[in-house]
Amino acid sequence: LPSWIKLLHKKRGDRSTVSRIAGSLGEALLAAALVQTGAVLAVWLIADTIATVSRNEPITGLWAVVVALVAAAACSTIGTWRLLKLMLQSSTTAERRSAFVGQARALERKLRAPGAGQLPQVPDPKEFGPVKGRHFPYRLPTSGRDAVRVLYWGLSSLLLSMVTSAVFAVTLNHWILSLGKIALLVASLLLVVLVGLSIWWFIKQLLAWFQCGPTSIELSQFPLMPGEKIQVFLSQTGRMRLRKLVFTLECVEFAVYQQGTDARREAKVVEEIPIMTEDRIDISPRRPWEQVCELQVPAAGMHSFVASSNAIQWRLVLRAKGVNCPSLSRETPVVVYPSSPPSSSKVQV
Amino acid sequence: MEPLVSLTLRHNQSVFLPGDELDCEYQIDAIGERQIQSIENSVMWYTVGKGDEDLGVHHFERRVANDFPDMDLRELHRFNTTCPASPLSYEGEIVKIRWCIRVRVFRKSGKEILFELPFQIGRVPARGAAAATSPERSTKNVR
Repeated sequence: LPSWIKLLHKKRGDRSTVSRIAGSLGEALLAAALVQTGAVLAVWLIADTIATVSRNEPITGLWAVVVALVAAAACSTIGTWRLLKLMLQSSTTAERRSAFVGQARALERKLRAPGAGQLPQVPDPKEFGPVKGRHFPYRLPTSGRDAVRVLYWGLSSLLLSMVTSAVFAVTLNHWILSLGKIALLVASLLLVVLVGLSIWWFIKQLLAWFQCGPTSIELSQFPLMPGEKIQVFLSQTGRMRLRKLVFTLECVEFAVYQQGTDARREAKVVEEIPIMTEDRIDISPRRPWEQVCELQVPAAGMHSFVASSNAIQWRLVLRAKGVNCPSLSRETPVVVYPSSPPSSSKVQV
Repeated sequence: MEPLVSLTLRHNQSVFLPGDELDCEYQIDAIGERQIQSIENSVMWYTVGKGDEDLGVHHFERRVANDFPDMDLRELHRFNTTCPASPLSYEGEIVKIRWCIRVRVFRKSGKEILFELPFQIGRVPARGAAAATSPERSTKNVR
């Protein structure tokens, strides 16, 4: 069959009719449509009911309205749940999901016994969820800001659709006659255009999300020791073409402070050590980009530090500029020990 | 009149490495022998910078006048501790970690006087703007 016919993801045993990315994207779009439909229907019904009440007319078919509202809420809830689940599944590996659980448990332990350990105020490397890697002994979970971008545009288009729906309901009910029908019609049409644009942008972001596969970072040694050279294995999967890729080790200072009743947080990158740079990379699902490089940990660098309001964090950062796709930014925090660590400093995975 | 405190690190050393022995002594003058209720001495670190202050105490000792037969806490008192592996002294841009020996004198009148002697653990160079603006460390700082 021609590939364009295979639109739906259908599993036949271990095989599937389309690629995993296309299947997941289809499911995500369906979930997004469910959320959108539910929200628009709910706002429409509420606006229509308010309009009817304001005209002092009896509400006919109240039960039907309630049932429709329940259905709309169910659509939105199921769609949101499904969308978030798909995004989490597609962006994270099983190891990273497992690391999330591990980090939550570690935080719980830390809250119970703060300051325990041989190195006061140095984070426990086990909290970072390292697992055994394929090339090197330690594989670290990565995180990125791609999800925030997708969620931002998803929520924006949803809110805009809800507002448009309310304006349409008002227009059709001739509720605010003083504004004039033409003005309302123009506003509605403008909003429709905006909704269309925001949905198009959201779909683009969602598509990019599914194009960027997980990043894998493996280290020959963990935690890091000042002055030591370690090997790093870097792998990026997905379907994209990158213009430039930069991999660095960064030292970031974090400060949390009270300003009035708000708690504010400031971060400042104070050191940036380039590890590798590469131009023009083509990544396909069958051919992930893989590279082994060497990292020299600065001998005179500060160790990782964590306290209630201040922290010094070291992290490995991968930044890439894409061709016809959004930029990629992934990072993984690492622990740098002080120069004279305790005897049992290696982490067992 | 405020009491005088002579707080010194033995061998006049101001930079230590993790595991080094830190020997300190202090003596209180210009105060009556029964005017001191208690004295607290601690070896601690604290943060300076944009964030709210964090602090951690590595060594703490409290001496109460009632525990001594002559109730006199003015005499020379020595204490020592081993420098910890972390946190090391650090002069960053928005986070700075500083170590000090702090002596708090509680007078019977209810007044409290604080003396501080900064020192350094480790030799981590200052970062960015802090490296350019960081003042010379004073060996003695009495507040």
